[in-house]
Amino acid sequence: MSATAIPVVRRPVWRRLIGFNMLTGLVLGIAGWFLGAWVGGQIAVGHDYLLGTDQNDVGAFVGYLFAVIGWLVGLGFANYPIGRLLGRPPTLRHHELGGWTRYFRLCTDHKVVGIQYLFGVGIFFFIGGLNAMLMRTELLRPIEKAWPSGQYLTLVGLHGTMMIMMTSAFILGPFGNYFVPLMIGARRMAFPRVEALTFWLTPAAGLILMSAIAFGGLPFGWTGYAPLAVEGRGGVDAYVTAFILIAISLTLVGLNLLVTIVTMRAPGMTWTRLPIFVWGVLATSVLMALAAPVLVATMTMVLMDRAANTSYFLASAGGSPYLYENLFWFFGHPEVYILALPGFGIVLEILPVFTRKPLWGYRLAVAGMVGVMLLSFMVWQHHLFVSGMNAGLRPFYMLTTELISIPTGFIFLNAMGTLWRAQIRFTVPMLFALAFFFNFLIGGLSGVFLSDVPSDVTTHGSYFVMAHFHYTIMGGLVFAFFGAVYYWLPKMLGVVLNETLAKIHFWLMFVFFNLTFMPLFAAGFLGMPRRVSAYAPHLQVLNDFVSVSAFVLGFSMLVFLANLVWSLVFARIPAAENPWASRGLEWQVPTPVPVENFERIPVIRSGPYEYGVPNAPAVADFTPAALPAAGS
Amino acid sequence: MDASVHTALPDGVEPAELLARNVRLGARVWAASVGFFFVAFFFAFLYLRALDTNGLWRGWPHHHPTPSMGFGVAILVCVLASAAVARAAAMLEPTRRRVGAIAALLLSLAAVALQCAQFSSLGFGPTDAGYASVFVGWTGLFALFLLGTAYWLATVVADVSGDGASPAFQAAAIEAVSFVLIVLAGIEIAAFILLYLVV
Repeated sequence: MSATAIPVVRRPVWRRLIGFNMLTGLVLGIAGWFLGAWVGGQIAVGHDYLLGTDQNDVGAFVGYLFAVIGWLVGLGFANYPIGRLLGRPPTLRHHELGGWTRYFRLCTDHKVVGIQYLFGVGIFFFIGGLNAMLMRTELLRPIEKAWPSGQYLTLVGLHGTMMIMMTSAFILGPFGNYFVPLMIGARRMAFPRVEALTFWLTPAAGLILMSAIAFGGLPFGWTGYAPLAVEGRGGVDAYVTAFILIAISLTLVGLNLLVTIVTMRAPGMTWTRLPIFVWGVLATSVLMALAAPVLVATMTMVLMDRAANTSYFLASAGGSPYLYENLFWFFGHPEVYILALPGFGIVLEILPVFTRKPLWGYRLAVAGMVGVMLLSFMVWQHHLFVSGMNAGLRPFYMLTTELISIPTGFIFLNAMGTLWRAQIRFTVPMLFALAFFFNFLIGGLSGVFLSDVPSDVTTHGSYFVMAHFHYTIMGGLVFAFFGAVYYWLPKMLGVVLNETLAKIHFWLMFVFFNLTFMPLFAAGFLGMPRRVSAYAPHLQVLNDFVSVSAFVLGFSMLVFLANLVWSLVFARIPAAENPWASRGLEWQVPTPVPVENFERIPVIRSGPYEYGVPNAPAVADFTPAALPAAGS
Repeated sequence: MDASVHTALPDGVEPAELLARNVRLGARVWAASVGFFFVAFFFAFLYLRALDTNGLWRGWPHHHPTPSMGFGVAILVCVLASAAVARAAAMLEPTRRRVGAIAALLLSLAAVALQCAQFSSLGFGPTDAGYASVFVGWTGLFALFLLGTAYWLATVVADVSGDGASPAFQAAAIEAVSFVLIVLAGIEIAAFILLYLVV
């Protein structure tokens, strides 16, 4: 195959700043916020019940709405819908050609969107991480020191919300968008403008969430329980709006990926030849498309309770805070698997490449992912074990929660079977994949304690829960993310990352991740509650140890950043087209990947994991005579 | 799978068959997402009604919100008719689709307009406790979704009125939007039963 040359239109820098791009979006977004706040104020004037609160929530929400509209209009998202209304034909392309400016505007190339996600979500991930560093600084002393308890709680809320919001798109955003079309032999996503929209909603959500600091902060963690969410200060408006935007984005990501995988597979890409990562994405997409809308509805109810004085969640006016807990966790628990399933897909994708063996139990892995997907909708009430739920329901939810460990166990069986008697290449992606299984095992086993009613009653709300979900989400998802970064970045960015720095990053991150979170199980057993900055004096040594470990863990991220900057800006060693000798379809295309991905749509001849299989055919035929070339 | 479907055209316009298939499946997934969105309101209705916290489900003492049945029936009829007409239009000859699509669009817009009219003379407000909250939220957001679907119908009308979109895409688009309208009609039936009959 040959790369398609990308003609770059050279224009003066000032000219490139004018038009539909991020800068225009920012200007219109800010103008929209002021206009919306004024309009909201005018709306509220005529309605007593809208003014029945101690702050102008209507103005805040309308301000955010107009800001988002301005942001999207400035980026150019309104042009196509208006054109369609005027009878222009449907097209899928927009600004796919061009230089670096593609990354700062609406672009329908899935590879550009993938890279936008990688850097966009990465920035918010680092901000969330900085919040964690600030929290651990406060926890160096058992009494309030650096920040009052209200500000500490805001830090906790911002850290949790930002991490959950951004990590939801942590793998599907960069790697799902970039690699799914390549892995299934497609030239693009099913709905490329929707794909671009999902990304550009993300920075809007992140910025709006951060604005909570300016409006009184958050009185809760990431779960935003009512009635605090209804009665909290203006920062909650930012929280609600940000979550609505992210949930809309997640719904559309799920829809887009689902349709792409079902309809746009290349000839010969049967369901049993689908890469396991794509199966993980498929299962996650179903969860996103079905669970995220419930979050949109829930947050809309909070919005109405705050701005229109409805009473969904206020018991004093006929509502119930338990309604919030039920609705939130109906989304919230599938959300956990929205985070975990793509991680499963990545590590199982990496293992065969570096063991040079076929993936053991491919169908079992698929069954595991689908099983997790289905069961994840039936477990949400285990979050309400100590909330006064009907005691008769507890055994059912305890059973369904414990059942979910069975399909999850399938994934571990796949890994053990693949590793068995393999000649393992301990590359950096492989190290992260192996660490994923170590961490997730601890996270999973500690989860059994929380699914079991008697032990959950004693550990609920403690640092034990915090340690558990950090082992699953950070130890699982984030390790899988970095495995994917080191595995796929040579294809995405066309440069080789420095391996020594990468290994330093891995070992620092692995060791100090465990030193940070393992002691927190003990802190939880010793009675240390979550979200409180003051704690019993005898826990200080434990907390100081954790804080220092967390600082080194944070430092490991700087090592990664330094490696990225060094490799991308200074060293710029070109990556080989297939440095890992992978059979994956995505590695069979040139680097950088052409705009059209494939000169001709390939015909898939065999599965992607037939390593060491005698006489295994090439994964695909890239020059099938019957298929015309792109652009011909 | 037909390999020719994947061949990109020089101007970037994808093959009509592929676009059509994407729109059809996308509509079904979108309909499922919309369904789950309203499941939250369905759950809220049943949950708050069953709890009847402080005896305030039906409103404050001496003030029980009662929406106009006339508006409710009119909105229901418009939504059902819109879905039926859009479905029928999808099955009509290409030359006659335009009339059906326009009729479905007008019926959808009529339902939205009726909802706005009902809100302007509701007789109660969102602050009137549990039932009123669910009523205002469910019906208001339903009208918003219907308005969005009406936009989609308007693009279908624009397509069938001009020669920009291929016949295959036109057929798929009207079939897809009619599917979403049918799901919305189902949601409206549930809303009518719960919000007007069961209460």
